[in-house]
Amino acid sequence: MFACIFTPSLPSDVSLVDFGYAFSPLLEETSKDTVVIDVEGCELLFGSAYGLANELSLRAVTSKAAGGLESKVNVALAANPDTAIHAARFFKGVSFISPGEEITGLGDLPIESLCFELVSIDDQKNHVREDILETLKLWGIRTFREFATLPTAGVSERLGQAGVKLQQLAGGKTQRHLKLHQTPPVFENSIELEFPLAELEPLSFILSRLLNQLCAKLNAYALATNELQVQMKLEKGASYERKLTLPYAMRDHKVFLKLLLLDTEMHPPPAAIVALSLKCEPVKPRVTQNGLFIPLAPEPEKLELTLARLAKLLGESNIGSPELLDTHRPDAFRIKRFTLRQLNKKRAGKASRSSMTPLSAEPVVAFRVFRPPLRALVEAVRGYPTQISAWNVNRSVHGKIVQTAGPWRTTGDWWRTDSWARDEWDVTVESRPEKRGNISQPLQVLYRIYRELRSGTWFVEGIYD
Amino acid sequence: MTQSYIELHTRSAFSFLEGASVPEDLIAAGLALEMPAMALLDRDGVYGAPRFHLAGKKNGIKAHIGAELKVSDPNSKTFFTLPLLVQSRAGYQNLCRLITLMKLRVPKHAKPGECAVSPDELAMYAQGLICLTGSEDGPLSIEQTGTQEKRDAKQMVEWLLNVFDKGNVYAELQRHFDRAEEARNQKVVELARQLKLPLLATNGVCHATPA
Repeated sequence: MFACIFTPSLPSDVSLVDFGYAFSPLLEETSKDTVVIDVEGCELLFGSAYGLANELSLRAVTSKAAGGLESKVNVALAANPDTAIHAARFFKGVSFISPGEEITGLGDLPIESLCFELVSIDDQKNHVREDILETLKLWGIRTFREFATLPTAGVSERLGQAGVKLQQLAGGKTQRHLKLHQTPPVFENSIELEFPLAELEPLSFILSRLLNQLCAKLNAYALATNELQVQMKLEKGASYERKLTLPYAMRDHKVFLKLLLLDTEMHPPPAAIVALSLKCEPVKPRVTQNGLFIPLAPEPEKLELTLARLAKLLGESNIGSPELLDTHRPDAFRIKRFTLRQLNKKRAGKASRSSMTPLSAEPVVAFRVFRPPLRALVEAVRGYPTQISAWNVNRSVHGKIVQTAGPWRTTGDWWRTDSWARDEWDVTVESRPEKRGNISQPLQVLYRIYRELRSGTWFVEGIYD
Repeated sequence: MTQSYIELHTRSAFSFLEGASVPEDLIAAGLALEMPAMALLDRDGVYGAPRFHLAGKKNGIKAHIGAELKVSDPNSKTFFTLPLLVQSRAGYQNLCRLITLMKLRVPKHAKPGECAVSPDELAMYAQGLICLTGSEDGPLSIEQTGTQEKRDAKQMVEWLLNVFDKGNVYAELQRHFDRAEEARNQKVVELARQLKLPLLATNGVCHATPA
């Protein structure tokens, strides 16, 4: 048995859902002004289903403080939710439709009152409703009873499945389960401490407890998280917040705990903690399918831990993978967070194919870059370099420049403070003769040198193999 | 600059996103450099030609007319830009005919590459025109844009020689302190030697004054 509560004039500051929950936990919010509750098993509390309906009607008019709505409601009891909804919407006060007598109860309702949204007809297309109602009008169908008594086969032929569903609705013969209203879960845990915490070890116990509860909740909802937020209330009213963003969705509380502790070690709060709140953003868990021919990657959780430990040792800005920047600036790159590349089968296939493509027949000259570039003293005649001398602790370049190619000029970012402008040259440097037996042979090496146009300083950028 | 150099590859501000100076400024720059003549090759049109001609006449500089035309590659589905210089009255008529044919064929808001002269049309109206081999987007660019497909440069020059006749095709060299351009220049010089093409140095001028 189902009870539908309908109120046409619901005050804006009260919730019909909350009112319904006071009577049954099994509740469907059909629309803002209509809720349906399953009254099965409520007889022990209210005597009978009819007693419950009366109680609903009486409590609705009471004040908000007493748990009421301060407005009159229509309550209808029926064997199925759709009949109860129709009855509540069109009969005032408390109405009761016995099982099997739906057509008697709803039969006189005008056909325009049929709630099309209760059957799965695309209500976005209003013309479907209008078309069906117009057809029924042309057939001379005016009430629910007239529609319900039509032969089903004929309705199906003429109006299709939608017509059959509507006919069942008019006859009160639909059978369905309630779409139960569920409050969205909140993935947040907080704790207020009895005494301020200033050390990491006691904090780890508290974090462990909070994370345990949070991960259990995530597990219950088959979810994971890729973002953890820690909010700390500190002594003297200050607050401190840390956000841990993970590249993959996880729900292992031990990993979270280690990551949070490492993060807190790197970024300790400025004062002792008096309250702690942990919040996470729920996302769908990561689903991976390993392939026989795809090399196994390290587990993301272990990788994250290793990266966090390395970041603690080396500094956060010194760990990651290099990424080329979309600029003409020579040697421009940045360090981005290291993530495992997920290759699906198609991509993996493509990657393996591309790796198997034959190399170009043209010879390629390898270039070894000096990082940092070697500062040089260059003698130039009419702008052309003729003599070079450069050294640092590891290497030195000295000699006469016998061949040059260039200059290759690159400039950019002139609108910024870190603009660059430089002339590159490929030069052959002839250094001191090398003795091989009795013959002394001069050694010629090909270097790339450049001159910063702003400062006029020369550098050796690298060497060609 | 001396009187021995004539700039034969210039674009005015009428070549949208390709040139920055009006024709009068280009003539003024030529005058300052004591050039006896200059040529204006706007992209897919002769929009700047009247102003360029008048300014040249006023300043005693011979103004040559031409255009850079987008041509569909006869060997693939790609396009290249072909600089064409007018040699005679018939050449001017043919250039205008090519531009008209191209513009009439394409829709009003053509996408890049849609507006192009076909190889057959070029062959039909090649008389009186001098063809340069262009720069990075020209027929001898080593790698085609997007497809990275290597074009047979020699085959392309042979086709140009077939269309324009020997003596009307010049191997164009430009130097903008660019490493890739220099590599291309070396290959163009090598090709010109093989096919006995005359070399022509231009600057591919886009603006009359530095930024």
